Parts: sequence; C-alpha cells; structure tokens
Amino acid sequence: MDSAYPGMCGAGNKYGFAFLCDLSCPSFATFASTNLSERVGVKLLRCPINGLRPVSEFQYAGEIRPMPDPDTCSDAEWADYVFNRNGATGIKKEWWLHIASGIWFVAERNTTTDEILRTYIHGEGPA
Amino acid sequence: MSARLPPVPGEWIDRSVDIEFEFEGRPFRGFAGDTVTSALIAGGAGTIGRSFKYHRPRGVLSMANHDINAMMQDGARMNLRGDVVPLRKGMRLNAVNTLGGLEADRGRLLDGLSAFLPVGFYYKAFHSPKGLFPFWERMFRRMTGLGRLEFSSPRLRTPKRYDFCDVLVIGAGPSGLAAALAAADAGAKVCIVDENARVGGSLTYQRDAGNLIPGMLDVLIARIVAHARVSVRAATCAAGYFADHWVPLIEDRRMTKMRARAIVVATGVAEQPAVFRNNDLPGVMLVSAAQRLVHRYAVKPMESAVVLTANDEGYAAALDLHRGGIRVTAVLDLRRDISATEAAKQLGAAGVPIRCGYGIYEAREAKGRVGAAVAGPLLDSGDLDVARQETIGCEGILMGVGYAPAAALLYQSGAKMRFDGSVQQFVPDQLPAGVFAAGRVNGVYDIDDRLRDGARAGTAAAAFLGFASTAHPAVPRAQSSPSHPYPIFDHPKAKNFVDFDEDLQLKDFIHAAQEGFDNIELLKRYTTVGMGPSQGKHSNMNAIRILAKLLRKSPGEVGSTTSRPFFHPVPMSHLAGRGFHPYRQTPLHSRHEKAGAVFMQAGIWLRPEYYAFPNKSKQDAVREEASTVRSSVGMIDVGTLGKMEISGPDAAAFLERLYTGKFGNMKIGMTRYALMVDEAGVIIDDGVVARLGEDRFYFTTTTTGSANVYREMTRLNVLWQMQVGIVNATGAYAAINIAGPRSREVLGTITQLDLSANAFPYLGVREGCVADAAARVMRVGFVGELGYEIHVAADAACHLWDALMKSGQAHGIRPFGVEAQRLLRLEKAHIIIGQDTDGLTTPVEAAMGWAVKMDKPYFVGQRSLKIIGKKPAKSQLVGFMLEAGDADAAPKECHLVIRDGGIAGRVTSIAFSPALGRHVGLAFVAPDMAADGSRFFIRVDGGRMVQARVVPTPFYDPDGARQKAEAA
Repeated sequence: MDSAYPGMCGAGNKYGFAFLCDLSCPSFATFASTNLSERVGVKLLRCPINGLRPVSEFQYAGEIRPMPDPDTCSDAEWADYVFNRNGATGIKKEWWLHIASGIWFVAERNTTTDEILRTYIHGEGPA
Repeated sequence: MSARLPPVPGEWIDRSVDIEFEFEGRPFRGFAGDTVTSALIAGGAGTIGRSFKYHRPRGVLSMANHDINAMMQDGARMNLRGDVVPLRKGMRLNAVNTLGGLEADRGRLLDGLSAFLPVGFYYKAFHSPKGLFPFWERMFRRMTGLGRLEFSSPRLRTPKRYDFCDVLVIGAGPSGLAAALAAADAGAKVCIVDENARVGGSLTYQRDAGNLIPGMLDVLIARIVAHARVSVRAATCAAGYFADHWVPLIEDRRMTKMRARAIVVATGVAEQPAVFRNNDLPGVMLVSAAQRLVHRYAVKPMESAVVLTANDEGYAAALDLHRGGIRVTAVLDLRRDISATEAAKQLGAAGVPIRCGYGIYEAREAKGRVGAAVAGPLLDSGDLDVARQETIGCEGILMGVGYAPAAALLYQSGAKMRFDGSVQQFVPDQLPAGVFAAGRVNGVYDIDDRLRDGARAGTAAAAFLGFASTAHPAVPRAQSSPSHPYPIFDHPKAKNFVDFDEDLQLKDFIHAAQEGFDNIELLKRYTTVGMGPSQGKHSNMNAIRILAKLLRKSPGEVGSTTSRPFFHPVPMSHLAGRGFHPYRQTPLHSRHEKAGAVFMQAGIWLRPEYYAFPNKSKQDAVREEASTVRSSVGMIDVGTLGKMEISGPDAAAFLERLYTGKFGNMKIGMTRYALMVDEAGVIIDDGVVARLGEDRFYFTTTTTGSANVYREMTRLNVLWQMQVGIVNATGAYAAINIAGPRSREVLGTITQLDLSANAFPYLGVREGCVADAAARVMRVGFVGELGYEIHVAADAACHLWDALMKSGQAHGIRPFGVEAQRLLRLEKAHIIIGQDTDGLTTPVEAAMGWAVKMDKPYFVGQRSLKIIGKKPAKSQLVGFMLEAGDADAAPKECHLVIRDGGIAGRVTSIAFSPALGRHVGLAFVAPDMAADGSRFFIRVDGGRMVQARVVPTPFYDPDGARQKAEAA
C-alpha cells in the first residue's frame, strides 16, 4: 500500500505519527483516527499472539496506572488519577492493541530509549 | 574542443549511442552512460553552475552526487544534479539560480558585495530594525531558492513497494561486495545497494588501488551477480535508517521500503576539499572527481594540473591521471616527512616535481577558470609561509587531502562514533545490535584490509541471524592517517570556501564563534553549514576541524551534529502518497443514489444528507422530508450506528459498569437509553440497549463512536475479566428507521410480528421476520413519531428497503436524510453527542441527569460525577425559541450567547421548525440564565444581537404522545 512518510521529512500529513502521541487522556473518544493506510510503521512490536509486526498495526493507549479505590480515596487522589500523567521517561507499562486482531496486551517499554523490553497479555505477565 | 579521451578500459559510456541535448541554449552531445556534467565537460564547458549566495561560477567538485553548484532545470524537473543524473536525449537544460543565464548572471554582482553579507546576515537583517522586515522578506524571497517550480507540471505518481531481506549491504565497493558474498555464502538472503549507476565503488575509478590483482573487481562482481541469494541493485540510494533496520531505498522513479534483519554499512568515505582562496574556481576539484571523469566517462577535465595531497592515495591518483593524459605540473604534499611510495618514485622518474610540506595559498584565475596555483611551504604553526610563495601554472587543481566517513546511516542507527586521531576520522565505537560497518567508513583503508573487513562484517551479520559461520578476526584500521588534520588556509582576501552550498568562508566560522555560536550545533544553525543540498558531505568535517582549532579542542571533543533521515534529498514525489481517503458506504448506498441522495461525510461513512429533487432547493427538500415524517411516514438508513452484542452471565453487570444507567432490571424484550461518560465524567457516547435474553443484549452506539466504544469495551473486558463475550456487528447489520403515524401500517404488511400497541409497546424490542429476513425491531422515538428501527443482516438490506418503499407507496413514503433527522430530533430536543455536547460536557450540564444512576456500585466516571455533583454547574444546556420574525438574521450553530459584553454560552443546534413555525434551538448558557422564560442575546454574523427565550423542551409534542402512540 502506498503511503506518505509523515514525520520523516517534514512533509505535512494530518495523520503524521498520531499513533505516537499520548492518547491516555481520560476521554478515549480522543483516540487518534486509526487509518491504517495513512500510517507508516517503521518499528517492530511483538504481539503476544501474532508475533513480530510493524508498529503501524498497533495502537498505543496510554500508560497502565492502577486506579485508586473510588470508595475510599480522597477527591484529590481521584482527580490526580484522572487528570495527571507522569511524563518523565523511564520503563513504563503500556496498553497496546493489535488493531487487526483486536488483541490488547501490555508492553513494558523503556521510553528513554524506545526499547520494548517485553510484551504479554494483561494478567499473564511476570509477577 | 572535445575533452573526450580514447576508449578507457572499464568506461561506463556506450560510444555507439549518441545523445544530443541543449545546455543554456547551446547544443551539446554526449554518449549513453554519460552524466549531464561528464557530457558538458567533454564538450568543453568550464562553468556549469552558479553558487547559491554570491553567484560565483562553479564547475565540477566531486562527481559523487555532492555537486550542488551544478544543478540543472529540465522543463518541470528541477534541481537535477549534473554530476550524477544520466544524460537523456532531448534534455533542454539550464543552470538553476541565475539571473539572466549562466554566463551573464546579473547575480554575480553579489560577489563584489560579499563584504556586506556577513555570516548570520539573514538573522541580523530580520532582527532589527523591525520596520525593514517586509523589505528584507521581499528581497530574500526573490533571491533565494534554486530550481523554478512549474505549477503546471502533472502530478507524478512514484510507486512504492515493500521488500525484505536477511542482510542489507549498503555500498557496493570492495568491502560491501565482500560483505555481501560472505553473508550469502553463510546462507543469508542478501540485498546489496549502491547509489552509483554501476557497482564497484572506488575500484571503478581508483584503478591502481594497492596490490589489487588486475581483474579482481570483475571476478568479485561476477560472483555476486551469479549468487542465488544476492540481489544487486545499482542506482539505488539508501537514504535513511529507521527503527529495526527499516531502510527506504530510493531509485529514480520508485521507492522500496526495505525491512532487513541486519545491515552492513559499507558506504565508504567522501573526499574532502582543502580550503584556500578561490578553491571554488572551475578547474579546482577533488582528485577523485578527476579520476571518475577519466575512468568512468573517458573525459579529461583539464590539460594540466597541480595535485595537492596529504596521503599515499594522492600519489597513486596523480600517477594514474598523469598516465591518463593530464600533465601533472607538481605534486604538493601537506606532509613534511614521508617515505616515498612506488607511485611517488614513478612520478619523480616521469619528471613531476614533488614538494613535501607544501600547501596552496590561492588559486589564480585565467579565462574564467584556474590559471595557476600559488603554493608555499608550511610553517610549524600550520600556516603557509607567504614570503616564500611560488606560482605554478596549471589548468586545474586536484585536491586529495583527506576523507570524511559517509557515516550518516550509522549515526541514524544509533551507533556511537569516536574520533580516531591516528586515522583522523570518526569511526564506529559501539554499533547497535544487527548493525555492522565495513571498509573505509570503518576506518579501514588498505584494499586487502577492506576486502577482509567486508568479509568479516558479512560473516558477523550472518552469524547474528543464526547462520553458522566462523568468526573473522578484526581488521586493523589505516596505519597512517589518510586525512590531513587541518587542510585549511587563511587568506586576507578570503573567498576560501568551506561550504559550497551556502558560500561559507573560513572567516564566517571565525566570526560565528566570536559571536558566541561556538558549539557545533549552534555553529551549524548560525552559519547554515551543512544545511544546504549537500547536507554537509563536503563541509561538516572541515567545520568541525575549524571549530576544534578555535576552541583548542580535538574534533572528537567538538563532536558532530545530529544526523537525521533523509541524509540525502529525496524528491517529494517519492514521499507523497496517492491522496487515498477511504470511506464507508452502507449496504443501501445504491438505493440512496437511485433516490437522488446528496451525500455527506459522517465520520468515515457516506450518508444521505437529503434527497434532491429537480427545481427544489435543499431547504425545501429537507422540510418536505421532515413534514412527510410528521404527517405520514418516512424512512432513514441508520445502518451507520454502532451495533454491538454482548452475552454471558456478566453481560448486564458489564453494561452497568460501562454506561451510567441500570440494565440488570430491564425486562426481556425492552430497550433503554444508555449514556456513556469517561473517567472525568464527560459525556462521550450514547445509544439504545435492548435486552434479548437473560444474559444477551444488543445495543447501538453513535455512528462516529462505534469503533472507539468497541475498542474500549474490549480493553475493559481484559481489565475487568468478567464473564462476557462482545461482538462488534456494525458492519454485519443494516438498519432502517421507519417513522411517522403510518409506519405501523406500512411495516405491518411485510411482517407477521404483532405490532399492536399492547403486544409491541413503545421501547419494546422484538425478533422476527420482516420482508422474509430475520430482523430485530425496536420501537424508538428519536424523531418523535411512532417509529420502528429494523435491523437485518447487511445482505438483506436492499430487499427490506424495497419492500418498505413498496408497502409505503400508498402512504406517500419517502426516504429522509440526516438533515431532516436533525431537524426532527431538534424539535424533540434530543441531543446529538458531539454536537450538543463537547469535550467538557457532563450529564448535569446536558440536563441528562435522569440517565445517570448514582446508586450503583461502580461505573466509569461515577467517582468524578460525585465530585462534580458537589460543585456548582458552570453551564446549562437549554432549549430556546426565537420570536417569529425575519429568518435571515437567525443565529447559526456556534454563535455566542452574550451577556454584559462577555461570552455566556453558545448555540449548539438551531433550525427553523415547520411544525412550530419558528426557529428553535439548543444552547449552553450560564446556569442563572436557564430558567424557563429567561431571555438572552445571541450575537450573529455581522455583530447584530438577536433575542432568544428559554422554553421548556421538547418543543414538539412535549408529552411524547405521538411516539408512544398508545391509542392506536
């Protein structure tokens, strides 16, 4: 499939690398338009079910953050959970979706070096 | 005068094919296999381009794809690099960047004004005084740019393709060829690419390289070409490195997106110019450029030349060219103490004077090109002893003072490079996994060593991929430095160019450093060194050396600038896609077309906005569609709604966690409105949930929200681990909403379902047969009339549509579009998510609190809504009505509600209601403006204020008697 190379040369493209943006804001209605043909995946990512696939087949859905108990936490703690994100780089657990097959999984990624350390189905990862 | 030599062994030209072309209006001829430049030089041309800034005459520099001053325009094709673009019949070429032609270029006057164009001139000019900004902007826009863009040229579609290999070898010189062969012999599938028209690299012009056995190149190439596991691609540039060994391969009219499992970078080096006054005169070129002209194209670029060198290769080249017919009038060696090589002895024997410890102070011009070289001995300081200068007559000066590694791909791959003082070159220190370097880019220079280094790298790449092979030992780097540490000489009259793209002189760097831009990245941006079309291939290394000397540091301490893809310009046509914008059609699309639908985009769907009739305006068509629904019966394709099925013991519980409402207490056979909020309590979707069984639900989502809702449901299912199965049936089902007082009769004739009010009440759902198709039928009231939403398998949609049209004919049934539906639902004040809500709207603000059941254990957004509930609302969605009056001044969506000169809200929906005879709408207003009967002002186009009155909703049929239709 032909496609433009957003981000590579500064060529304007409205879908340019949208999938690398942080989509973890509270409203999942803001998920980027997932138009496969418009996107270019240069990185490879290992889906626990489908194996190594180009990143254009995947969607990133934010860092996995434990939800505080809504019945016991304070308003401030809840607001922090809903609105604040830790932007510092480091090793993070992230939600990823293999779009074509609908497989959700966890990727442990070093966001400083953009290295994927491992991927696994939620709940089946290392202890 | 022809500079074409008699046939040269290994030449790339085909003398049997004559090619005629035009350059600057003059006829020229060359051979097939020539480049534009080689044919021009063969035809006696001296000046073939003008420089960018000062419009100085320029000739050949590298013949290696770096000759950015020999750029041509051929019709719509612009910025063709003469040194590499193959000659084609009928080319009508002009040099770019001239004012009135190459010879008479009026821009040459700028050369005399150069003292007034200091480094950073643009920045300074734009900075102050500010009033002159427009003047400078106009002038720079006129003066800058290279080729002329032809707006009338047709769109070029450049094919793209994907490819895969085990080992991608970049560079098909001796080390690359050896690497490819070794990797393939070990069992790997290999692709080897080279930007040159033919493979062989430096061996195609450095014919006397070291101890190379004559004919060995041909043997190597023959083995490669014959190898079953090797694909050889010449004229193919690997223009960048992206993650996980993904390399775009650029050909003239194609791009290949190559995914390799390992790569070997054998890209060699770029020979570097020496810096001395007038080092840009036509006739001053890299010694390798002259060798390329002689051996590839059989062109003699000059009758006589001075060779300036600092390495043993320079002597071999001088001897080679001397034998090729160029009279070498002197060899000047920047080194003082050298042991004479075989080539040096032979040159001496041929009577060529050799001066060690000599450099060139300036080139003197005669008849538009080099007439003489002014040479002098080097002092201990590294400067030239001007007092002892001597003038050596020559037509050309050949520079062979050192190299810079073509390491852009290595940098991009994440390789750590270090400056090796003994090789005087940046060499790979740490390479990322799967990336290997070989040959001169790896600092290995001796020809035998390069072959061994290539074999080592190729074997290592194969072993990395698991192919069995024996490890090769590391190959030593060059013993003596092939590059001079500082081949740069000051001159009081300057014009000693470091960067030929941007006409940067030595003094520009000194001034930039003095002005505080003394970090390599700052220096680059201030001087623009390396930012032109050559991307620093001939200038970055000298810039680093200059800065290092100014700072008294080593080049390694100064470091190099960041290399980013693409390191070589790639035409936009190679990168542009096809303008491919996919959209979805419903299964009923053909029926809409036949009925004259005017389509609109709704998310990725095409939906009928309205159905056009000849001699009827859009407004009339929409109003007629709406009134048909109110008075009789109409139908609309609602197949774009998201359609989901959820089943399992936890189905009801799952929905109650997902939506704000309760579903566990629903009776089988009933439907219920469902509202979805996000974690922040903001409305994001809505739909209708139908209970088909104890643990089986069918529900709809908004058209644009379906993909995201389904996706989030699957994620929550992974997270919550509940006993449910979720199916997205959006594409599998079609849906038609038939609405209007006659809808029961129309539907009744094509189904056995009992449609009586008692058997099938408002908000009921039934499964049965409609028009011979299995259907789910829901009684809905979105448009405020008796109505049925009929869901059938997509392939039964057209049959159902036709059956309804036929059955409704007697009642004047008409299809209606999105526009009429918007009007009808607005009369009922039913909100559309995303139109009447935005990214901050909570259920309270949207007056949807009735749909939120806080007495549940948990739902997404519940905790946030608890907090929001404790705070005063910021705005309130209300229904409003305009006084009957002129419709022309009616507000539009998004017009602002104004109070005391400030913004107090906005209109979200507005339309003229035929049923009510006036404009009705929804608007956000401040909570204290929301009481029934309150009046507020809306500012419309042109600034006029229009008064509106808050009224209770729904505007039409407030009790819902029509949609409930109990009496029937």
